[in-house]
Amino acid sequence: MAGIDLIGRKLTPVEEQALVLYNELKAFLSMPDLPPCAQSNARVALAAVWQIVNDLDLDFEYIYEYGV
Amino acid sequence: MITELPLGYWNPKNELMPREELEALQLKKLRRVVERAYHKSPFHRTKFDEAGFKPEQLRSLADIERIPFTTKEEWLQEQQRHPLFGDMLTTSPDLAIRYHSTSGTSGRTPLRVLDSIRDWQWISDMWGYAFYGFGIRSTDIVYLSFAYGAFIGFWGAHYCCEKLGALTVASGGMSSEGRIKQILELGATTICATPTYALRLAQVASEMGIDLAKDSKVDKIILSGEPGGSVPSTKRLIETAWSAKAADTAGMTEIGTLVVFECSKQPGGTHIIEDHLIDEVIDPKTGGKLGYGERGERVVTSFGRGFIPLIRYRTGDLVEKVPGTSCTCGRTFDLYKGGILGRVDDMKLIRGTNVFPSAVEAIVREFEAVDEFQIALTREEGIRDEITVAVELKPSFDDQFPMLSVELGKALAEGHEGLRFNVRLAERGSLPRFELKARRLIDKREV
Repeated sequence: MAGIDLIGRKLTPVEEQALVLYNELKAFLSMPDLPPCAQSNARVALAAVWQIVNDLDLDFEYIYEYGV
Repeated sequence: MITELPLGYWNPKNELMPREELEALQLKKLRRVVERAYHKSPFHRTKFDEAGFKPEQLRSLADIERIPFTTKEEWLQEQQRHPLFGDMLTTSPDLAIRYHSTSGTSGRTPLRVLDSIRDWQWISDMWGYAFYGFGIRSTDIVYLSFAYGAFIGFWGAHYCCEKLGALTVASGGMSSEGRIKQILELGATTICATPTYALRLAQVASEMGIDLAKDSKVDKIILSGEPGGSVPSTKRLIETAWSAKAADTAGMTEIGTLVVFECSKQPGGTHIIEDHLIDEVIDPKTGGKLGYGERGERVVTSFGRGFIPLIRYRTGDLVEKVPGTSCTCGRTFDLYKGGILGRVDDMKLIRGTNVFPSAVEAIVREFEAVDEFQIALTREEGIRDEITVAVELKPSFDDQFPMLSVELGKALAEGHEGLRFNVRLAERGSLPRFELKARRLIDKREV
C-alpha cells in the first residue's frame, strides 16, 4: 500500500524519495540493451538502495530477478 | 587517556523502535523468509513437510516454534548429498558474487556458502550497527588485522568501513611486526582483531620497544571471533595495552555477518540486531524456549541472507538474554549479557564441576603477570580427571611464579566450587599464539 511502511507507519519525505529511487533503478535495469557498464553499475546501485529500503522497513523483497 | 565515545545509531528508526512494533516487523519478515524458503528451496520444503509445518501457520511470533530447527550437521550432510552447496539455494548460483567457507578443521568438509550483490550489501550493513554504534565515523582510519581468505572473518567489516567513508586498511598476510609499523605509520584510529590477536599485537609491539598506548592513535578496537571481547579482565588488558575502548561483536559464516554488537555505552553485553534477525535461546537438551536470564543455546533466523535461507539455526553458542532496558543507550534491542559466553559443547565436566574455558580465562587474565596460558584436561590412573593451567609469564615477572601459582590456583578453585586446578610454568614462547579462533583448551582425555 502506498504511503505506509511494512508495519503501517506513514512514510516520511525521505522514505518516499528512497522508494522512488528504488523503483526507478528497477525500471532502469528492466530496459533492454543496457551496455555492460550501465547494467553492472546499476545493479550495484540497486543493491545499495534496496538496503536503504530494507533498513527503513519500506519493503522487504528479493531482487534476484534483476541480477542482484 | 581513554576518551568517551559518541552515542550514535546506524538505523535510529529501528534501533529505538517500541518492542511491539519491532515484533510486528519481525513477524512480517519471518513470514516472507519462510514462504520463500518453502517455495524455492527443496531442502526446506522437505524439512517443513516432514515436520508438518506450513508457512501459513505463522500467525504470531510464538508460532516460530512450529518450525523445525536446522543444525550444522544436517546442512553438511545436505551438501554431501547434493554437492557443492546442497539443494537449498533459492536462486541460480550464476548470481553469486562471493564464496566463503568455514575452516573445515579436524579434516571435516567445510560448510560452503554463496551470496549475491544484494546479500553482500546486507552483510556489510550489519557491521554498520556495530561500527556506527561504537563511534566509528568517516574520519577514522580502520585497520583490519585479518588474513582475507575464504573464512568470512572481517570481510563484511571491511566493506562496511568503505560504506562509512572511513579509510580502510587491509593488512592481509602481513606479519605482526609489519602490521604494528603500518598502524603507527598510517595513524590508524581503529583496529579490528580477535581479542587474542589484539593482545598479541601489544606483546609484539612491546618486544619492538613500542608502547601502543602512547605511540599509536588507536582509540577504538572492534573485537570478534572469540568470547574474550566480553570477558571483563581480557577486555581490560586490551584497553590498557592500547589505551583505547574495546567493543565486542560476534557473527558466523553460516549467517555471513555479525549478529550482535556492543554499543558505546559498553553495558557488559551485546545488542542483538533484531530488525534483521530473530534470536531465540533454547535449552540445548530439550529444545524448549528459555526466558530472560536463563543460559542456553542461541538459535538464529536471518532475514538478510537470501541465497541460502537460515531458519532456526542452532548455533551452539552459549548465551544469556536480557532485555534492552539493561543498557542506557536507548536501543530496544535485547542483549546477550556477557556476549557469547562460549560454546554449548565447550563445557567440560571435571570431577563433578562444570568448567567453561571463558570462565577460566576471566580469572587468569586478572593476573597481570600472565602473558599466555593453556588449559589441559587429563585422566590420571584411568579414572581421575585433572585440570592443569599452564602459564607463560611476562619477562619482568619470572621470579613471581611460586606466589602466582598459589594465588591463581586459589582463585580458580574459588570460581569453580572448590575444584583443584594444577598450575604449571610454561617456558616463554612455548604456548601457541593465535590470530583467529584461539583454542586454549586441550582435552587429552578424548585422545
